[in-house]
Amino acid sequence: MAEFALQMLNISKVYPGVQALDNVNLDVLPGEVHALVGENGAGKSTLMKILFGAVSKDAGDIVVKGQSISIHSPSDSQKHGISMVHQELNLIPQMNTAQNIFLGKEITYALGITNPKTMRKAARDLIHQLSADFDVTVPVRRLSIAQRQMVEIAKALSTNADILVMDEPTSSLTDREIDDLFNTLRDLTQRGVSIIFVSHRMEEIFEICNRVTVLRDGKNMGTRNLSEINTDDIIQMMVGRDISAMYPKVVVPQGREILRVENINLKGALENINFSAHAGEVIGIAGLVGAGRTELSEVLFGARKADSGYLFLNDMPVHFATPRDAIQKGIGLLTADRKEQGLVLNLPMTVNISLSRVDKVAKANIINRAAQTKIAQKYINELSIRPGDTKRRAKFFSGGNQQKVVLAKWLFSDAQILIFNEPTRGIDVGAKVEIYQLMNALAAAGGCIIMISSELPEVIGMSDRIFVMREGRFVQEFKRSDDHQWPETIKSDILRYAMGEVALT
Amino acid sequence: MSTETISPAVSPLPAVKSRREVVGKILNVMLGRFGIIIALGILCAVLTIHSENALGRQVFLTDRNLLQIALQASINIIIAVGMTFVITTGGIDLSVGSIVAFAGIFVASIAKEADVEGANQFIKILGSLPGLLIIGVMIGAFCGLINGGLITLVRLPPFIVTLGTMSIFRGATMIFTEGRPIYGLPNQFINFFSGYVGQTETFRGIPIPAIIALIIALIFGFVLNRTRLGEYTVAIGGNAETARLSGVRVQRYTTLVYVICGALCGVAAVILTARVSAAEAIAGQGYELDAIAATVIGGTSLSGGEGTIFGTVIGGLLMSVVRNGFNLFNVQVYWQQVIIGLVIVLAVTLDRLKKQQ
Repeated sequence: MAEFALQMLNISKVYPGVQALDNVNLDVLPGEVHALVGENGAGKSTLMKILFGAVSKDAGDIVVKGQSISIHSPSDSQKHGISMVHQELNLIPQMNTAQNIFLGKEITYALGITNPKTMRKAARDLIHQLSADFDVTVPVRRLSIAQRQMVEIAKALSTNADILVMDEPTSSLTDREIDDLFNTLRDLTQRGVSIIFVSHRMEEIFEICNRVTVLRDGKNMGTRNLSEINTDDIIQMMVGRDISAMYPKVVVPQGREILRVENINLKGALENINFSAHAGEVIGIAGLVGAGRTELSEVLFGARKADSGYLFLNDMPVHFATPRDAIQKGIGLLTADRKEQGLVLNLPMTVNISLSRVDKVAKANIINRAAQTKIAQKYINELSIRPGDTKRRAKFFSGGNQQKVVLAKWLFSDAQILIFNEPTRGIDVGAKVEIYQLMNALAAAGGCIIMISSELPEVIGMSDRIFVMREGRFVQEFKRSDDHQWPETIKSDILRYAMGEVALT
Repeated sequence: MSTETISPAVSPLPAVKSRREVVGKILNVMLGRFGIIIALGILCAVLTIHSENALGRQVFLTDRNLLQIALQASINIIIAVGMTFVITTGGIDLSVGSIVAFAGIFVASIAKEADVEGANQFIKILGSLPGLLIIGVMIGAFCGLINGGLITLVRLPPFIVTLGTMSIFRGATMIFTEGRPIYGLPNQFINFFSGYVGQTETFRGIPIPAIIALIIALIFGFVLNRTRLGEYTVAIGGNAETARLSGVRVQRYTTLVYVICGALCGVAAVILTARVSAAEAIAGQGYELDAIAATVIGGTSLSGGEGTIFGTVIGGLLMSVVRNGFNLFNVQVYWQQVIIGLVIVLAVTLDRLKKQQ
């Protein structure tokens, strides 16, 4: 029975309104690199959080080396040799490598006096074991990203971990650094360490991994030997079902061109972006995290300055130095992070809605509170914001209603072009459909919507046209056919372009 | 049988409030917007009763003493109003005391200059009562502009910037005065800005500084509550990034808030100079802590996004009442510091509790 290093058996987890994991199995052999793939929201991170003790499971068993164990906290999982290398590196930048590795488990003399010499030596040994070589006494903020990742791995190994979870470990590494990392991983597997490799990047999965487990909608779609299958098989397993009827898309006749973008460049983020958008149109922008989608939204909104390129609104050249300029020209941005960028959480709904156009509720700079409340009441009715309490602070609304408050802000500012970045992230299904219906209404009223989303079904379900972004470029455009249908293979096609299976020309 | 078990569920009797609920409710009111007024009321009641008991006559609750409290609180309140704006944006201004001293020497110099026989017409206009007030305000506003500019343009933390300018403005004051106080100010100036109105034979009159403080509190209470500037001040403190992405010119409005704080320090400088009949380079030391204390006791959140001028005024009065009470009963002066410190800690603790609820 001790044939597996780790088995997760029949794991289930329900969040309010969502079955995040449904009887999922995952087994990992000693010394293998096991890929875990799936779309956003498929349940990968929930499964890994359960393994790491950050989230508790509703049902199922975790078996390590033949023994059923219970994990209630990260320290439980460490005790059983499970360690996680996080996507955002969890290091303290001002402290050096040795201090970071031994944080919380310092080697000490009596009375808790630390023994830096021994720790430095141990840290150096760990780093050397990873075939890396750098000074363990400099603050980690002065190390490269790749070196910091080595520190993370060393930190994980210092607890004698033999099961290592790596979440998108290559997302911010250069090609050379990735090669080095993979060499390190191969060394580790030689020593019997098992690695769970969470990634979107097919080439890398085929290069480094032995087996792959695919999750879709919280279900296990199967585990395969990578030597027996190809990328298309994996994508097919990831995609599966058709776009369900939860996208109430209404295609409206398109009007004139509202926005034209020419040759926008931003060093390290955007390369030669060109497109135009029309009245009544919903443009979807798909791509992986880091493909430059958010940067594009910020450039269009004046929140970030492009290195070069032109914007035209209604055929007139425009230049946005600040978001204020863009807002005055009728552009609104619903940021991906509602709480940090979309709302002032501590202020009531009324103030949040009128924030971008205080002038519309003020006379001679004196605010008319009654007018403010009336406007909030109007949007409560139009967008069915619940609860309909105009004085309620933004932080006390649910995710979906918070998003509606943000939307109300942009409707109140008379935005013609609305940029939605992850419009339904963290929103329950009911509110999602309402947001989609509002998009339809906006498009029907002659507005134009640019929707950035990592949820492919949403992009496909709601867009009239789709651009796929990769490495800062628009690599492919998809259009609906004359009878408003997408090609059969749209989903796997988008994934292929987004993940880089199709060579860039 | 079945009816018996169902009946309690279907007929909701008016629930007898548990003691815990009642206590919770009382606590809520205490912690809410009236908490600070209740605290002030209790303190006044205690001092009134103690006065009768200990001294056998009323020394606290007399119009003369109450107006004295208002007079003593006025300078702190004027500065604290500006501080409330600054803290509501999530910032802090440690340089207020130094601005008071810096503006004070200009006001005093010009007042003296204009008083000299044969001074030219321009100086005479500057040296008039409104002229001197405007000079104080302009100099203070200028100092605030330096603070705001450094904070928003160079993007330095307000704590560091104003810690620096606290020293710079103080040093500049020392340089201009060579450390010597400016005495011999015109009586007209002293009598007005530290004077009283409405005297009768039995009534000393209402102190003008208190009237000025009241007018300022009313104006800026309105500004914070009901104007675009106030709305932006709160929004910037609540979430500057959201404000920026909503088209608020965050830098401009943040700077403006420091300018307001500086300008109010200028007003305070005029009053202080008149009250002590001199401008001193060491004037206003420690005023930043008093202003921050009044603001915080008044319920303004140090992390920004929440603040009221009303609370600040009550906070300033509370500090004044504590000091006054201790003076009346000849309690050793050092105890005042301990008590005011306790009040600050208590106020912030209550605020924290309120937020956790």
